[in-house]
Amino acid sequence: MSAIELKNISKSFEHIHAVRDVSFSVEKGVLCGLLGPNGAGKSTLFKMMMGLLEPDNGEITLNGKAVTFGEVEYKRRIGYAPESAILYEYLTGLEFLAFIAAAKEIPKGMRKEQIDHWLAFFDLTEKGGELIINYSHGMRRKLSLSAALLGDPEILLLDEATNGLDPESSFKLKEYLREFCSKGGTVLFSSHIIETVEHLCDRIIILHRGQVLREMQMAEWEGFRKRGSSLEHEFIEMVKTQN
Amino acid sequence: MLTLLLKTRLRYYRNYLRHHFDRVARIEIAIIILIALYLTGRSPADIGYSLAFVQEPDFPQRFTGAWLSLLPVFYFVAEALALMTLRPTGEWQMLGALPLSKQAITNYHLLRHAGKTLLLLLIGTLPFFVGQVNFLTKTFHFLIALGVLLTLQVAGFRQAHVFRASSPQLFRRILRWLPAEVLIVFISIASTFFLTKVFSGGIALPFVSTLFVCGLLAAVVLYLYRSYQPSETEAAPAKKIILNGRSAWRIVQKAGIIGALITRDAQLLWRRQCSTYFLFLVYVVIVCVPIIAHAKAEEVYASSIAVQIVFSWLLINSLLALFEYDVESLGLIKSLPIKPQKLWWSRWRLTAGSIVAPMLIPIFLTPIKHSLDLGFLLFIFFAVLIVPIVFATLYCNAGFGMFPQIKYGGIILNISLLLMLLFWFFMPFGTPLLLAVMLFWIRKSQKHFQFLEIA
Repeated sequence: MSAIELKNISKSFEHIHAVRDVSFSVEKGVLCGLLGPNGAGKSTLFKMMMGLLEPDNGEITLNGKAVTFGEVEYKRRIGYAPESAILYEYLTGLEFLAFIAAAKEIPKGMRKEQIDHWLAFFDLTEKGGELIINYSHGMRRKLSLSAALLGDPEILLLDEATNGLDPESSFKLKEYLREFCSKGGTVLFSSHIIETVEHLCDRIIILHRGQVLREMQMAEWEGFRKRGSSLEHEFIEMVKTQN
Repeated sequence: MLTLLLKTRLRYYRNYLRHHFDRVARIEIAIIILIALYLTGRSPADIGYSLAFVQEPDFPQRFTGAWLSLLPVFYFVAEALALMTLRPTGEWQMLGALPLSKQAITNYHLLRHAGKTLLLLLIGTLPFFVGQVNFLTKTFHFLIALGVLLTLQVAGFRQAHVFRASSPQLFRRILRWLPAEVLIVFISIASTFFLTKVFSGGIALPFVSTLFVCGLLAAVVLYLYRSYQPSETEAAPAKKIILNGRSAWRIVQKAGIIGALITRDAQLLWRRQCSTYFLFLVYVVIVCVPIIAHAKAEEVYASSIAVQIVFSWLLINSLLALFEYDVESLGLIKSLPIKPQKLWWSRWRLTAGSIVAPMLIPIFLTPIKHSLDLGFLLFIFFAVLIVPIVFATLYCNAGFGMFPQIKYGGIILNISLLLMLLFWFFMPFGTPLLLAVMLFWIRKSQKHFQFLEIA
């Protein structure tokens, strides 16, 4: 069964076609990379999946259930980290995560354990009692990721997740994502950094100007390597051809 | 540079309006303003007020008396507006990072401040042209009034700057700010004696008085220029507070969704706008006054309800800040599994609760002093049910229904309350009509919030 399925999704803002007739599906347990230049429509797709934007056309199915705009229940099973971390700057890190845990209706007995776990995972334990306004960009990103990972989600939608992370946290996150997928979780991971996607994902979807340019399996880019090429080279060629 | 800064600010306002209101909405707003101006200007009897008092011969004396007694109030208002102008925002950091001269930034903020006080300046000076005295005297009076008000305005700006940027420690800031504040207020009160003589013709040399006032203004401006330092961007050095283990996060950790939402709102208000808590405290104190001051139970009930209405009005306006925080973090709220109905009810409970809580004092204390009767039950009915329900519902409807146009929502909220009060006195059937509209709007406002898109 597909964990994520998008059928003919389109979205326009006045005269700009942000997403045009996009269809793809991601199987359960797959770590899928969404690759594309700036303005390709990656964040718009995530926002539509999270119900922040209503698609003009098409259907989104998450874990076999069609998602309708305005619905909220399905969000309990999804972890979403947006491109720019949206946080309450005048709450402390602990208070913020406690609020997210309550909002996701995590059982009360498990909240502290989960919060402590993710704070420790991202090396934020000592900073948990400080106001978020004092956090650096990287710390905000870590907190946003912690919020997304709280509540054992089945699907993770990570928009430019490794941006601003220090190398150690970035490495730990990638390791965790692999483990998460091996246990049956599904990840859609957007980035414009090709190397990250190349080394992390099982599958790649390339977006350009709001359309799916190409879908590739791991084996295909292994083929590039054997031919002495790279994903980066192939990606640039594809985008150039389209332009 | 100053022109560039002002042009950029005007462009910002223009783009803001264009972004938030389409052409039709802008035309509608313009028509509403024109109609309001027309109604204000034409026969006042139509809308229930009279301008006849302006024509009366003693108007100049009465206006001058009121003007003199309100000088300290004008100063405080100007200072409060300057505090708003000088609040640390992203713009400070941006301007601080640009190669702009100190004077250009000073002038820019002074002009923004002047823009905010312009209406008060006009109200405080133009009426000096009304009356039977000759035009030259009127002009002198006008110039003196303008000079005094401008001086107070600039002094308020300077004081606000001292308060905002003199020291990161609140105590030191107050220490630097307070002596000058006391002195300015004292001078503004003491100068009324001199100004009364000037306006009444006691001093026959208007030139001298005009020069005196202008000189005072020049001195203040000079002082401001010499001491003004747009230092290190003046952005707020964020309070570095460590709250490990002690803070309210333990409450949130154990709460359900609505409890967590209410706690979050209370925390944000405490850290970003603690004036709301101060207002609440004043409400608690003032609501005790009628119990002590009035001998009859009916008077206590009536005064307490009046106090409740006034403070509820102030409180819900202050609580509108919560919706502004929601605008900043809408993406987060919408990506969480929180139903808009729950968000609506949590905000409603917080508002209604803060309106009801202080009224428990008269409810418990009045029976000690007065006997229980039907009036007391009616008082409880109004204080605990009617007033909180009406105010909280209207607040939530305006906030959620107009989201993310919170300022617009605030205007609608206040107009609705005003109309409800007017209807109550002049057209009683209008109040239930508005209540019915309000109840219909609950679901509508929730749906509006639920189906809001975030581009």
